[in-house]
Amino acid sequence: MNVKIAVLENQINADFYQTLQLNYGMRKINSLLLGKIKQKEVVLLATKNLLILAQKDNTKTFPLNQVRKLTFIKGTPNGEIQFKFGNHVYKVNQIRIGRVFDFVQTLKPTLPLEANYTNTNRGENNYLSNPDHAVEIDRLRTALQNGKISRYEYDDFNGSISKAGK
Amino acid sequence: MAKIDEILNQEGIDRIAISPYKQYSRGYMEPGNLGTGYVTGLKVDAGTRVKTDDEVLDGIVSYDRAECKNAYMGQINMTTASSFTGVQGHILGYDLLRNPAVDNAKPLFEEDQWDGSKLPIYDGKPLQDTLVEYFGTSDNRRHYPAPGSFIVCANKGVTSYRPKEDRPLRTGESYGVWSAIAISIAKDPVHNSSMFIEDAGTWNTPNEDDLNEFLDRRRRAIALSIAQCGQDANTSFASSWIGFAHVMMKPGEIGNAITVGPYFSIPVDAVPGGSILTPDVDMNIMEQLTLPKWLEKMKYQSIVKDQHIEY
Repeated sequence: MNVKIAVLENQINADFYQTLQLNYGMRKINSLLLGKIKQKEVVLLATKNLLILAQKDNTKTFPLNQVRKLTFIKGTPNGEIQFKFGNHVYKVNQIRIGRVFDFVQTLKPTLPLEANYTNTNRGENNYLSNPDHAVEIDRLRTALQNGKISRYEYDDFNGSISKAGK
Repeated sequence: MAKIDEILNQEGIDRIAISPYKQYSRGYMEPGNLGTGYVTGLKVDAGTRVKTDDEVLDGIVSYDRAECKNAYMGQINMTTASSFTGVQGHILGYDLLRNPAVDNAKPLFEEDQWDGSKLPIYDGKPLQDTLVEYFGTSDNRRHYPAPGSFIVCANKGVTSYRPKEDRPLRTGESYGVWSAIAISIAKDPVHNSSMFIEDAGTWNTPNEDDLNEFLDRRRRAIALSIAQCGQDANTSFASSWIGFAHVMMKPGEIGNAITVGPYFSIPVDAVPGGSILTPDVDMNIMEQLTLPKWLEKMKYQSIVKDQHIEY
């Protein structure tokens, strides 16, 4: 039994649930959504390389690298997601189980483009006050906060931090 | 007295680091300590807390949780050092209370150094374990830093929030936090310093497996930076020990990952057969004792063996 899929027990038709457990029970499911397409119940599953759209009588499997545009529209409850495969646009709405943004982030991570500044965090003074370094530091902070570079690299590249140590 | 201490003493350097307090360790340079040396340890931990509506408190509380997890370092005034443990220093688990796991460890991989030698990279767990055994944990405290003491630490950390609502991440928010610490042991400890490197960061997808893969790559990046730092100082290292911690936050939680290398003095009652009158002998005893022998003489059960310690 797949514990990720188990959250759907009692939420969907028993046969549909059994079919999902049978087909995908042994797979590693990273994220899952339960919503509707044209009032018909649909389960979206995300594995490492696939997006699976399962309905009671029909299942479609999309290789992730061929999924064009995976868009968060709104979060649960009553969430909405949209993705494009070939020329067809799939729109899943009334999502009531799962987290829509987490699903998008699992498959196609999108990252904030701006850096966050807060003086309330320890050691996080607004370095932008130094105009010589503002643009570069803003880029560095964005990369740090997106997990692209580490704290060590941020400190190392940051011209406004003394290089006395590591 | 160890051979290295005989050589260092001729240069006027002593590695004595004895705290006059009972039970409590004290920070390096706190008044009243005996000797001019210090002992350092390795701690890398990550913790989470449910977020409130006060960002300042959230930061404090989550940092506190990480400080108190595993090797207990709660209630201290942490000040920052820039990360070298030199000729006047001991490394816990390596120079003092040597952990036999250090001698049995197999290198994970090797990094080229500027002088043509290879730098073997090991998992830092034996050294992290030694600090857990020595400081104790929150509910089984041993020779932890005296409450309110000023502890100089090599340190870095990150704090990040995972939103409770199902919405896109805003700047500064993430799914997980991680931290790492490395200690590189100088080949020539009489003339060169061993070196800490601390690192920390956030993780921006809900997949923990991807984070683990990333941390594996990060270990190699840290190894490379160690080799480069060695070149800057014309020094090379005998070995490097790298430890990691990470935590994935649940929705609505704030996560904090810290990496700390405290510099401290050891209380005389942590030295089996020690005396405040002979601090040099005390240090000698701690150099001679292995970690299991010390646990046995202090009548302590091994926390690492008995409890589930996960970094």
